[in-house]
Amino acid sequence: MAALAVGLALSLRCGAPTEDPEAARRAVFEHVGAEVIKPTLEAFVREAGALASTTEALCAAPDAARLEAAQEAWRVARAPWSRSEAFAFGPVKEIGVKNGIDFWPARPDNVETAITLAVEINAGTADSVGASAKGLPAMEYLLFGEGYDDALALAAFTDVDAGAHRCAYLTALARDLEVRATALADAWLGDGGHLGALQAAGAGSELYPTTQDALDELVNGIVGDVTVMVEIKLGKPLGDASGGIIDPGLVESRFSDNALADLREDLVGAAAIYLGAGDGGEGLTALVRAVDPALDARVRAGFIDAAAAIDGAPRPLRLAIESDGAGVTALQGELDALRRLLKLEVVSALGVTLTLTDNDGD
Amino acid sequence: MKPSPAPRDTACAPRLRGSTPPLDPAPGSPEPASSAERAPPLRQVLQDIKPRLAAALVAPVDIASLAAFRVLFGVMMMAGALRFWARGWIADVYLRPPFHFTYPGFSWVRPWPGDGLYLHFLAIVALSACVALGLCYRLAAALLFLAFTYVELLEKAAYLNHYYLISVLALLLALLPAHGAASLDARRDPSLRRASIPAYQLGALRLQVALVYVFAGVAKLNGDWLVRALPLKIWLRAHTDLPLVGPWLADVRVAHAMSLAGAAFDLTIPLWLLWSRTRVVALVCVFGFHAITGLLFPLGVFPWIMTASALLLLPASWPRRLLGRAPWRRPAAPRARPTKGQRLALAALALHFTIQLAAPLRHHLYPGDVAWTEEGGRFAWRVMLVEKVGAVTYRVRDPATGRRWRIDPEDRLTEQQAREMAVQPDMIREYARHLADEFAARGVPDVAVYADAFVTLHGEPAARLIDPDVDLARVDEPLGARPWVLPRPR
Repeated sequence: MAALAVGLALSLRCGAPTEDPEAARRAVFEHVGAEVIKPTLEAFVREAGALASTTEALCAAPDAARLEAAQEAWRVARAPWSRSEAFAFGPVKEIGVKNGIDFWPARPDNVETAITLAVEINAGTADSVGASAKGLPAMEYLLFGEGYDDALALAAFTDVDAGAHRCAYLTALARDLEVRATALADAWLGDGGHLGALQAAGAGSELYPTTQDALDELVNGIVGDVTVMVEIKLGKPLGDASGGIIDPGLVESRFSDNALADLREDLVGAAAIYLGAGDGGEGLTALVRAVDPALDARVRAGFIDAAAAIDGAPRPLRLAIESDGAGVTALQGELDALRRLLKLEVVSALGVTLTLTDNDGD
Repeated sequence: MKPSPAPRDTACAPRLRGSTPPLDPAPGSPEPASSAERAPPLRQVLQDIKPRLAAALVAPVDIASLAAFRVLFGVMMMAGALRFWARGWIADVYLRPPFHFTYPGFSWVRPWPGDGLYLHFLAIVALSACVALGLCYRLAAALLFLAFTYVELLEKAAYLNHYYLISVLALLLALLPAHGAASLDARRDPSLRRASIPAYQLGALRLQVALVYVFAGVAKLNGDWLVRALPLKIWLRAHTDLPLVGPWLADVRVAHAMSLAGAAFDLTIPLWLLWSRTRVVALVCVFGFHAITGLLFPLGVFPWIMTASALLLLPASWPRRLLGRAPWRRPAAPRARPTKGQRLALAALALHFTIQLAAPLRHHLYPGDVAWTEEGGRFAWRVMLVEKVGAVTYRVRDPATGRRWRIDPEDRLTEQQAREMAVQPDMIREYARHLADEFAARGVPDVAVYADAFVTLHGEPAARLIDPDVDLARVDEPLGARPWVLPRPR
């Protein structure tokens, strides 16, 4: 009883807390929302629109320069989408746009079948085809082709019999992508959108009644992002699930050889949520540093090491997984190390619940 | 056994009843001829204590406390089972998972087919109601013990200390005549009615509850808890959003204070509840402690169970006082000697409590920190002690072909299973064996299974838990230490 009394007395003598942890969390949500999520989604809408315009220009007069411009527009549009995978919660699941934007690996047969079956191509065409025949991967297939030869890709659009039809399909997909990107951005940024709920966490937000709920969401978001990189984007092509049978067909963005760029943008998205972006604020790093500066330093180093590993990875990934499996496996290991840091140590330091059941403890 | 007549001269009376000679012979009294002629004092003392102890064990005590606990236990079990059902956990925990982690020797325990488990939970609800009402009590309590324990044996990942406590309490209750008062059985059959029970029966429940508290406190006597305020420092940080107290919870001094207070509470609260001078304050502390822990942590029915159990440590007549009933009076019966049946019951209880004392201490037989190795961690009342997060990836290799697989168990297990397995070596081994069996069933026999298992304990840098070079498909679960569990890094 005496010790209990001492304990209670000590806690009463603690005085007012030196800083408001709730305010610190809200500052992170405010910053991540304003400087990471919002600009990423706005960029995606903007670049999806630009992609649609370039594909229309390509289809109006197909030539190598316009094809190259469209290909570049595709890469540019893909970057913010990849970055947004670090916050693939909320609207992207609720309004179900993910498969329509990025169902991969692309299935060329399905795309060709959809083109063949589409008698008249209009604004509703994309809605009438399955996820495997639209979105960024399907557009990538159309823009880059399977032969890694731009001339062949261009020839498919200039073909007298089917080129216009094919290009119209491409344009329909591009406009559909813009619509989906806009819907996603609206769901986040519009009145009553998810961003407002996130930033109001613990202060009247129905979606996030406590700041811990929002913190859980953000941390789980970047953990999930890096996990997908390790297990899906690298693990599957490396044959992790198939007894070591390497399959270049499972490499992301394999027609454009954009896989490592995609990975880097994935990482940039996660890093932006952790470190923050722009001026005048910080991401999760502020919260981690407050409780464990050494861990924060390790996580920062982990991001740098992972970025260096991507930059130094053998490329293109499509070929490297066969010619330099050890090099790709090393990249996977580096990303896995970052995943462990986030999934184990950051989660533990911040008291985050790893998207588990609400079953009882002890 | 007749009570000894009161000594006329108490000043000269032997301190213990019986034939013990005075410890200090009166001046002038003859010296004992030799020490051999005197009874050995210790032996004599023991000889004297034995009948007194036996008498004390069977001395009548008010049944009211036991009957009240029976009612509370039954109601809580009923509510707990319904809550489990309502949350969808019957399906989530037991029916949907294609694989279950099992206890050694109990792998044959499987969920009922079809809707059988739902019927089983209905039975638990009905049996709990019978226990609360005291209807067909003996049978109902025994079946409740079996029914609840069956559920617990289905899935090791669902192990919780308070589920184990429920099983133990249900077992003890099944052996006690808790339907002797405030029960339908006693109303229907007056021969069952009784105002008192032998003291050892209430004492068994009291000792069980006290052991839970004390071992929970003993488990906190380590540097992490007492000096570093871990894991409370981590857990409290997650609750800074609570009104009023939230901002203080991020202050490490609060974590330190609460760690000390928590350890002191667990270690001593049974004593404070038993001592009349501190009882009221202690009871307030019990309510406060379990309310706070229930508020801060997802403990389910645990705070309710422990609060109800703590009431057993109050004077046995507390329900009479609470309800304003006539006070209980000790029967003026002569001091009793245990009957044959009671001696048998006492022997069984002695065995039970030997196990209860040994189980929480068995981790000392294993090398390393039990918080890290988990060897001897279950059935030991190590309640709310560790913050551990783990991640496991299996590497499967077919030696015949050189083919390899990398398996993330999170894709194949429920979140609860994956979370629990990731920090518990025996479960990591068990799943490795399962993977080997699975591959064999797919026509790939004799695969080697390795685990890349990393764990962070109390926020320390993550480290390997399992030797990555050990083929877990070929190691058996030993009785002793598991050599393939790596030590906690320091």
